[in-house]
Amino acid sequence: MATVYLNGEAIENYGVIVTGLTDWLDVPRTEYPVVEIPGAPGVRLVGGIAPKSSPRQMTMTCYLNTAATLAERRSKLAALALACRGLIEWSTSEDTNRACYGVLEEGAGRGIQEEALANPFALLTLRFTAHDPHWYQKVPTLLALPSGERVSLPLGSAPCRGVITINHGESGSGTVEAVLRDKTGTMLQTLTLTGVTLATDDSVVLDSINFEAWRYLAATNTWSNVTANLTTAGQDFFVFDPLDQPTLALSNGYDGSVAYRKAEQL
Amino acid sequence: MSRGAIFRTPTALRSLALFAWDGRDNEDVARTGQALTFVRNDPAWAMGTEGKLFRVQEDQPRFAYHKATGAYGMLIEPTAVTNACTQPKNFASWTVVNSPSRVAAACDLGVLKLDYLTDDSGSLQEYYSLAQTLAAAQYVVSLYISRGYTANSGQITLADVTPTTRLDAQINWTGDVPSLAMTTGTALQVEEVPNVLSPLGYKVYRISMLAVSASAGAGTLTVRPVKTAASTGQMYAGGVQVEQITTGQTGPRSYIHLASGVRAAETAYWSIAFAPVALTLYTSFVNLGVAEVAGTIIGLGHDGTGTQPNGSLVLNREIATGRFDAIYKSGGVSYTAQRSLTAPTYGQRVELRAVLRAGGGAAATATAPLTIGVSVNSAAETTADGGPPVVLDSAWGSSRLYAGVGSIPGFLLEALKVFPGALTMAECRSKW
Repeated sequence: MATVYLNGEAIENYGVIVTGLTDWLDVPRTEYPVVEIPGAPGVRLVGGIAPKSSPRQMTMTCYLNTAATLAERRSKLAALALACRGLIEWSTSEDTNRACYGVLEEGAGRGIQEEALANPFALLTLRFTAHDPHWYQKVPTLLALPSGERVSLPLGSAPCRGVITINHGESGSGTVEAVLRDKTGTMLQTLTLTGVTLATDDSVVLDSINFEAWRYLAATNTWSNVTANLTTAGQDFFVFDPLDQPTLALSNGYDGSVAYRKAEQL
Repeated sequence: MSRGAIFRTPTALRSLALFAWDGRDNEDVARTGQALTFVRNDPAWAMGTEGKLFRVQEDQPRFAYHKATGAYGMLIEPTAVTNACTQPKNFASWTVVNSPSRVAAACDLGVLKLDYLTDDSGSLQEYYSLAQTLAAAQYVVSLYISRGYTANSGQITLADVTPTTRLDAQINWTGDVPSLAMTTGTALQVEEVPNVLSPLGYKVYRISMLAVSASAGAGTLTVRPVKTAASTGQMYAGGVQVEQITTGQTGPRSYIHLASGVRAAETAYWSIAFAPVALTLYTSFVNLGVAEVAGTIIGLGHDGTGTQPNGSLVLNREIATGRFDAIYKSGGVSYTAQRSLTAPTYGQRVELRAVLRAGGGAAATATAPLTIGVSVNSAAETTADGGPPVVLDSAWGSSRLYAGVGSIPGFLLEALKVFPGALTMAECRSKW
């Protein structure tokens, strides 16, 4: 039976039996920048400062049970240690369609050094830290952005970032712009490219994950980085926050699509 | 060059593969660094996860979603398609017969809006008609529909110049689920569009039918919200496509939204630099548009022509014999492992694995140098070995890894990987 997958590989395949797993389903601790105003009920959120979530720290206890010799046990542990180097994609058998990303910070063994016959069930405790504590859907959400429409973005329980593709489409002209609004229609942010026009079959990519903008010119079949053409005032790349229940729209007859991976707090 | 949409998992940092590409990354660079070149000289349309069509500009890959399998990947249709329907979007420019009423854009399907068509006459057939220029050929006719009047059936017909009816499909409704009853022609697909509801809360479907071969000349296409003259009723409809079929086609190809109706052939390839070694070539894709694909699905060391060069390994679908082949070609000789199986149908996930071992010399070896493994919809893999001992060429026939060569109508590429050594299907699935 598989319990936890590390980079898509069941941890049982490394010769361990998982006996305990903690904190993988906890809501991450989040610090909100707030200020209290005496005499006024509640607190006020300080504008311009994003809430900060604490890392998710998961602890897994497991037995190493299949080694006949110390050398074999060492070999299996080495394979597990190699698999755990660097950033790791975690998923669980509870829902293999979503993953959390973190690093192994500690692997404490007990009884590992003893001969297998003397201690057939050596204990291993693995501590993982995911500095971004959210779980992400493995399959992206891909939405059409038809010309002139405000498209509602289905999100999870945590904010996420995405990538917007804007096409010349069938009737596009003028300023290339993407507009993010909340559920009431109030504009939250715009991403506007100045000095960039799209001819037939041209397109633009606004990449809020890598903080870049690219333009494709069909006439020459070339891409160019147009990040510098984003106008400066209020031009932060988009974060899609489920509290806003946001909509996304493109300007001036352009159409396109948006892709993102839904994020969940737990 | 990065052009956005990197959803890559950290496995990119630890790849065991010589080559690894994952459609979910939404990215045109493989996890192992090789850059994708994608060629298609026209815009095209693809389906998002929320079931709405969007436009993709020329020379850009189409990342798309397939509801039945939950597959997300790159749609590749290596053959060009023309939509012979000159008014595909809506019925605004169709000929009105007996005054049906139309609510334009009543259902949102992204760039496509379905019309709401009503026949309110209790004595006449009220319908829409469109003159078509047909070749002497067989056509697949498809359109998007949503809930009609439950008690009464809709109808779509195609007549040729003679005039003879080449397609006569009755659209029956069970609640909001359509089914096809054919008087002329063959029913192909009733495919639910993911997560799209008409304004009244009904699901949207794409239906497709295979017409009988038509004679060349001016034909007529009709869409009737209600078939029976004495009945009244309604139906959402739009996105009509009339495409000439390719051999073995049992499903519609991707929808073409423009009246000009052309979508150029699509080609995807990556540059490779590794030398021929004992390896495993793996791919996972969803079969779209045809029951069988014919030609090369994946070609390692292939130059993209229909001819397999020396020093190349391909995974082929042989339509005539109903089997998958793994073929390594060297010195003008093809070394083949073949696996026959029931043809995967439209919308099924297919996984192929080829293991190429260096047999060395002319002597027979205990292990066959070439193995092919096939799994359909994650069922147990069937394998076959083949070929005499192989002496690997010193270089691949070309420095490219192709996806889709020759006359393959279409598939949604989920994953493509090349590993050193011999891996099992399970290892190919999980490792990167």
